[in-house]
Amino acid sequence: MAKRVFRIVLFLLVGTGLAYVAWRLAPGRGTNGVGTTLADSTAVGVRAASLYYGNEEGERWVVESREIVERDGLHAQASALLEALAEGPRGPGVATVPAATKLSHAYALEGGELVLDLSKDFVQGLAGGSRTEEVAVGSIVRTMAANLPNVRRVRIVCQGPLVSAGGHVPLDRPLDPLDWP
Amino acid sequence: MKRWLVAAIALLALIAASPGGAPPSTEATSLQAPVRSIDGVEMVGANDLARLLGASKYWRSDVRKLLLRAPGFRLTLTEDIPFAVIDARTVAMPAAVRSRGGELQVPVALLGELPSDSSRARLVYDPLAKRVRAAPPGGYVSAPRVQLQGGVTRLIVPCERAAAANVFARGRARFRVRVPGQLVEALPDSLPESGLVLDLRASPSPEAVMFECAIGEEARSFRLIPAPGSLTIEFSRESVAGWERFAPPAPPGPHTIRMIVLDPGHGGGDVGATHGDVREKDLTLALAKRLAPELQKRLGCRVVLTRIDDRSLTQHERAERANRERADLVISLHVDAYPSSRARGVRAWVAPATLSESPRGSGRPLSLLPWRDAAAEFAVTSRSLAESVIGLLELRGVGPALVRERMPVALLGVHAPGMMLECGVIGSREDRERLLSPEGLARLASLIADGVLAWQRDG
Repeated sequence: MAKRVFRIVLFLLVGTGLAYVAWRLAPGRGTNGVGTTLADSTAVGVRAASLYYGNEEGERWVVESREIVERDGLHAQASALLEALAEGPRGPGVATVPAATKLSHAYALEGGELVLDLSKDFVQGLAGGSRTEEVAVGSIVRTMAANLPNVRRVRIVCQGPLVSAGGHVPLDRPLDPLDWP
Repeated sequence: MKRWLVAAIALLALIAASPGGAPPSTEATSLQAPVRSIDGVEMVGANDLARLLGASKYWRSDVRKLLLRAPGFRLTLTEDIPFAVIDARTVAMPAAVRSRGGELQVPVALLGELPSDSSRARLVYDPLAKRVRAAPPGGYVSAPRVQLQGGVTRLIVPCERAAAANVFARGRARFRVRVPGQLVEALPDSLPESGLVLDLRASPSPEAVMFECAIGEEARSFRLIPAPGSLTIEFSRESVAGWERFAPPAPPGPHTIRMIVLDPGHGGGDVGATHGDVREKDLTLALAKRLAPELQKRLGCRVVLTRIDDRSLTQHERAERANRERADLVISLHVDAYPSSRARGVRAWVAPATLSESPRGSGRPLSLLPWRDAAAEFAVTSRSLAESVIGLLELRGVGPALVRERMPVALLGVHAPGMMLECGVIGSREDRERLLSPEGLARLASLIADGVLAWQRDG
């Protein structure tokens, strides 16, 4: 009986040892090039983005440089920028894009036009007043144009065409970032 | 007798040598003091410093120390020592305190270390004028210096809040720049003859200075360069890429006004901006009802409101009403809102003049304009109207004021000169109280009517 138990223990010890050796020698362990590639493929990339917020008086831009998670695809990139705007600045500045605003769809048209289809929360959550509306729309337009390649104009829709988000700034046409200095 | 004479001479010498005994410089005025360069270090006299701070001086000749007791803090300076003591805090200075002409001289770098709040005089160094100034709470603005370089004329305005300056009116005849702060110096007596600035005036308001310039016809473009301590306004004879253009001249007054349409913003289910129980739709209607008789009285014209009660109107209905009445002016009344309580003041939104670069009837070639942008045909006129109304509000303390050249929804489809007037920010206590009190509302209506009247007469 004791011999049998000894064999089982010995077998387990040898098995464990072999498994450990195999694990140490497996690709991806240590500092070889293969291992680095594996680590990179699972890491999260970040990049600096310029985010436009209004200042305390609502008269000028406060540009915040923030590292946001690098994502593939237009929708994911635009969505990350919008989330950062809705979250608000981490330094000085004022958030005007309603916190619940989500990006439903993003389309890139010929000629550099970016169409952003926002959730209804954008219209429903806007605080009112032309100053809030102007800064909210402008911060989206400026931020998208500054961080996404080849964006020359931005059209904002909200589950369909939108005349205006709050009754002050017309949104029935694409907006040129140069008109939001 | 001899002993008395020696004692008197010694006493006089002691008084003369005392840093506290030297008379203030003849250059100094009650709000500013000259700065001298001593061994390459900018310094201000301790007597001037005490005067500007409203401080009492205590001189201890045995240890060569000067104590300044200013309201709220104590400052101790020691001759030949590069450290100052502010209350219990020791501050290093770039150079030692020096004695010149019987007066201690203090590096101006110390000014940045002095405690300041809204109740105390705030001292700032103006490097262009080489002066230390007691700045008002909103900051100071000095008289502009004019420089010529090639085809460029520069107006350099020493000021503290250059980044907040903006171009209020960009026509050559009345080019206006609003610089926040209080004017602390007289304007120059004369301007260079060969420059592009032909005339320069300043209209101080409680919060800002409005510089109004007459710019030569040969000027083609301009730009603002804000920098720490000064604002530079450059005018060029060339159309420089990236610089702004001047607005075309508006037709001169008097203007014929038979009908004004007042459009109280929002209404019905659309309450507009809110603050507690205060709703924008109620404020705009109350103001419109106050403003209508004021306009009728001053201009002798008919005034029609797009709504006289709490009802919802589409923009199409508002524009249709204004067009049907053949309005000579349309004023859409609104109250602004912003998440920060620091936002306040009035704003006028007008159609951008870039859509219509020449005044009506100037014989420009036929061009098609979408009906949506019909108001753009009157962009130049609308801008001059807005500048008149907003400028008057700023001068009467209902500021800060701004003219925004951006087509508002309220003017879509309107075929008449007009503006959307944001009459205050609902989150600002000062603005809200003005709009809620009968006196404040009456004064606001009176000022708006005065602004319209001034534009009607003079253009």
